[in-house]
Amino acid sequence: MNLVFEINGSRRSLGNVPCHATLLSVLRDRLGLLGTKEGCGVGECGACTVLLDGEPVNACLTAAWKAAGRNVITIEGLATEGLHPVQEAFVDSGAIQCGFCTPGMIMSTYALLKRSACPDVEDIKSALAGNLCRCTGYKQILDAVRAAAAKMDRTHDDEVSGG
Amino acid sequence: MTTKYLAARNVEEALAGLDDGAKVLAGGTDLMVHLRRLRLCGAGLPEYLVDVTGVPELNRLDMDADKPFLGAGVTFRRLERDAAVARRYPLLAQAGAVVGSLQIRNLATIGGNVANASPAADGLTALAALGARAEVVSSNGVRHIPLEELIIGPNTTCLVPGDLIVGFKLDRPPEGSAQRFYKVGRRRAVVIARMNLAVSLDREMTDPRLVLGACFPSPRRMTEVERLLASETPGPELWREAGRMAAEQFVQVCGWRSSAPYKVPAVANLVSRTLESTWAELGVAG
Amino acid sequence: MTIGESPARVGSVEKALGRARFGSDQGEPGDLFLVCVRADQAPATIEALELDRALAVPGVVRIFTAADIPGEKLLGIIPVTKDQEFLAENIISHRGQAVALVAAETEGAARKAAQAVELRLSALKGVFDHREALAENAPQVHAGRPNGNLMARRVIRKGDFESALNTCAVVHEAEYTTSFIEHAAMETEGGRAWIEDDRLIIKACTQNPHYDRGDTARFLGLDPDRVRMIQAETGGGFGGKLDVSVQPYLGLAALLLKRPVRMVYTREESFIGTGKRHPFLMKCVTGADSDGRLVAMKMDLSADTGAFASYALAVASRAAVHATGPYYVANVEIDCRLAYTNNPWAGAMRGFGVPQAAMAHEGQIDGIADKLGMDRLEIRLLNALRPGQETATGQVLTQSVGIVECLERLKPVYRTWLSEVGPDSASGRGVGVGAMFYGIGNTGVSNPSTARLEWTPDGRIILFTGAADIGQGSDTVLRQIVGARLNVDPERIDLVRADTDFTTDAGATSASRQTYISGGAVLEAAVALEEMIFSEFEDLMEADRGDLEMAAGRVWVKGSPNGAISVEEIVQSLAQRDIRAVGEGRFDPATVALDPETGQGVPYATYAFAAQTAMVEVDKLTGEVQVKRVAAAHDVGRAINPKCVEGQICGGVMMGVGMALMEEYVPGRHANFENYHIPTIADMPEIDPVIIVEAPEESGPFGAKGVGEPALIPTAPTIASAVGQAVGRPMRHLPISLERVMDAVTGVNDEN
Repeated sequence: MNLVFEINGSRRSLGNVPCHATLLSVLRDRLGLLGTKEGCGVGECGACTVLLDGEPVNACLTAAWKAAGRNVITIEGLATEGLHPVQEAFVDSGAIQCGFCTPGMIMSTYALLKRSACPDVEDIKSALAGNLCRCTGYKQILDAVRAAAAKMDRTHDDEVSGG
Repeated sequence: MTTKYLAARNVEEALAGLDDGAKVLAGGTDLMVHLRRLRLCGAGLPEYLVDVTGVPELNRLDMDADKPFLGAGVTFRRLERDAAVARRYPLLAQAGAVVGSLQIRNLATIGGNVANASPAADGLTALAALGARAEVVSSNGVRHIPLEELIIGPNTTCLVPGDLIVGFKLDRPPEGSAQRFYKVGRRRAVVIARMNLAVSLDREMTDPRLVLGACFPSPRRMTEVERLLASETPGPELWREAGRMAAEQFVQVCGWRSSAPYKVPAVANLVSRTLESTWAELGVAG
Repeated sequence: MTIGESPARVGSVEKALGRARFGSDQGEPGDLFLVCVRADQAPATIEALELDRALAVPGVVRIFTAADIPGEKLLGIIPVTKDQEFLAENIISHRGQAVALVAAETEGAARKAAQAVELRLSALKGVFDHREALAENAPQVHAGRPNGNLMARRVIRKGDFESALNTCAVVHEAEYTTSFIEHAAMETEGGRAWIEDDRLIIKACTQNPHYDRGDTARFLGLDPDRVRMIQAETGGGFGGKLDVSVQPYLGLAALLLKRPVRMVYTREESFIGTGKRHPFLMKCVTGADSDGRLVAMKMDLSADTGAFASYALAVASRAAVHATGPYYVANVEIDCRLAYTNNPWAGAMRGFGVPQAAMAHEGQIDGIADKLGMDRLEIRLLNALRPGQETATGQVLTQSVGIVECLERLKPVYRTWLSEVGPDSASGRGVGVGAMFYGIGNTGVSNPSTARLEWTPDGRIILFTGAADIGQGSDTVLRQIVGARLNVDPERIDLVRADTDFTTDAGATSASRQTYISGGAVLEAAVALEEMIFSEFEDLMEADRGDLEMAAGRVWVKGSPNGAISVEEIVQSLAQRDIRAVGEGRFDPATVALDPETGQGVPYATYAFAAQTAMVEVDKLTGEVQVKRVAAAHDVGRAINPKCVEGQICGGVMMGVGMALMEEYVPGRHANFENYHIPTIADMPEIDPVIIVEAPEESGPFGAKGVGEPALIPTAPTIASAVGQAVGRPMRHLPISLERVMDAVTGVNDEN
């Protein structure tokens, strides 16, 4: 049986996906989507955060088959062209240092702003507490989330693959 | 080697899978970590997983019924956000909100939390305060198992292969109860509890509940403390006495282990403060 | 002019899009996967290493052991202390040391085979505590060393401590401890290697590509010219990617199998197989006069370097040199000893022992202040180094000494917070203050950087730098320096970075040295290139060189912009004579080696200074501490890119929050982020204001010094000071855990 799911707006069908495979391994090893990172493998760092039917999950803890018939968005699927406003805000705010946590951080931010247009500091902290960053001290990330909230407009949003 | 993944659509399918040797997969936040460990040390991996999160019974959330029911497949995220949970069982909603990260709460289920049986499990501490009885099915039929009997030790339950937790029947707290869940950890989020505490009080003190987690082999109803609360006059002295008694029981059960210099005062303080604030919420004059 | 502006970081768009390829992302279909076999017991003798069962696992190509190493078996970052066996030959020195390397067609096969390797060990008596390691008759970690387990020692003597102490009005004596800390860079170590034209090419994450090439070549018995090291995008380092990690393994397998290979450490391997921050024990005696002026300071520092030396010599020197803090002290006696143990090895981590030493000097000055009833900030101001004063090593500071300004500018914030919190500790709130100084570059040794800059006939400007940007922003800053000097938009400048075939050695991304030292080299290269261009302009136009100007790719005689010609024309004119328009630069800050007996010398050409203040809230019932606010004032000389500087400071502060409150690596107990906690965004205090002080350094590019490590150093002592104020007892041991706060509140283990 093939694993069929929608990834960044395209339907994909994959054979030979073992029952115990993680979504992370399918994304990275089978689909070559290397933007989703493995930082710990045990759901503690959030570097592998992707959206499953719009909700952020750790791809390293998600059985690949849970994606069957569902919709997955990774960092590669956020912008149809150029940068998504969240990505733009991260670049402009200096929220990216080494950049390894960035894809996960951006996916969590995107999910937050989809459900809450103007989150307060506590909302942001709660939404991003599962995304570790060792470089920035989070301050410029917090700035970026606020800037993204301010600039996110629905028009662009609707263009997001599968969003 | 071909493996098999079954997304069960109902209990019967799930049980058939289990009888066929499948392992239960719920949210996967514990199981996938375990499987990774097996993979890293080159050990064998399960060949058949049955995903039970799509089974309707496991997603049932019936807080307003006479016999409230919480499906085992309900995620912590849902507990955190569900209006009926917040209204009926605020301590459950509070516990739901402090489990792991948002990403984990989107996956992790209350049933999985129970089956994993960590001594520090926030969900277990919350459920224990609500008198949860697990509804367990297998091809042999249905059993109702009180939580205290289900969890037999650290990370150990009495469940056997073929068993599936469908959900939990909860006590209805007396009308007008106030509830609190509090967690102490080494950082402010995404942390294993160093201590957690669930409290439920009502104005008449008809059925006070107090559960302490991460201090015993499994989260523990402090029944002696509850009896004390039910029998004495509420007030600062009682809260202090309750705290002292909880700390004493910690030592009685666990012995004076290396964590005692911290936990003894911390348990006493946390219990009395949480009782005080929960009682204050009830707004009883005097 | 682009100095002092904050253009977006180089590479951040690629990173935001998820397109940046890190070391752990390297690999192509068909690559072999490498996995280390690690011993789970130490110290021990290898009795047998049986590979047959593992070799029989389908997909296994080969398993390497120490016997397969073609070159030198011992590696290490410091040339005189190479002692690390990347594949243990006879003795396992620490738990987790590798004994074999499996190469297989798939990761799964490699892991299965690694498990199937049969390793029989016989246990040896070990030592796991650095104090015990220095005791007589302690088990020897490495046999036959003349100094036994004493790995490194640095002594500093200035003035006459004993007699000066007798004159002191107040004396404070205390002990401080810190723990092993894991760097926890978000990317684990990883990379790929392959053979091309009979040369070995390795692309991996690193802080130190040119060193990596040298040591990997030694390991493989190759001429360094046959090895090319390319830095992949590097997901943080903090010192953890200064030593080689996957590079020798990748090189060994690719070279001997003639096939492309890749390797990625799991987080668990990254914990057990890379260096840690040294845990310190610091015994201090400090004396001051009745005004609070520091008069005499004695410190007995000892630390655990684990099974291997790594950067131990540097850490011993740095901790000792900085042990008096940013204060003038006339009489100093410092003894710093690092001991081998059978713990996982400790190496470089952001600050090289100085964050540990800062716990001691800041705790001591708080102790003196409290005894004299003085304000904690005022006593620092009173003692802060001023131009004309000398450090503990006898170095007279003449310029770029910004500590007074840091403290002065922090003062209003500190005062406001103090008044908000109130004098008594009933609220559970406390305010602390801490300060530091930090020498930029390596200690008392030559540590040059070099750079090359080319203006091509087709109009490209290419900066070749060996400096590894690991997220701190050197790519951005170095481009800004070139842009400022040549008056071109930094965006126009292409970068060739950290690729040993094309770049020259810039030294390590460590010691907060890249802005100052590589920035200096890049500036030199820009000056040389400008000179060449001007000289050719002169020949072409018969103009007077002293009066030339260049901007936006054009050159003209001052006052006659109409006669401008483009740099491209000039470069093409050079090209016609087969001359490339290339400027080369080298900068090596002037230092004087420390005297081995007295520690006197000029260890660094310049120092960064900083002061921070923090407000904390302590839950005295549960021991929980929340850092509510931090304000930071940092003298960076000149902020080339203020946003990058602020990013470094905030990152350092949060790493300091971790060090202060939660981070403690216990070998055998912590293996991943499940129980080794680093701060989350929920632990973040409000970090405001971030005050950038600019006391320009004459020898620095546009006056710049450095900030990477200084950002972290004052934070933990500042938080300790604040918690101490809140609980009414000094907090001298890190981390300030729930248990330690409860002990302080309940009066257990009271040292006073």
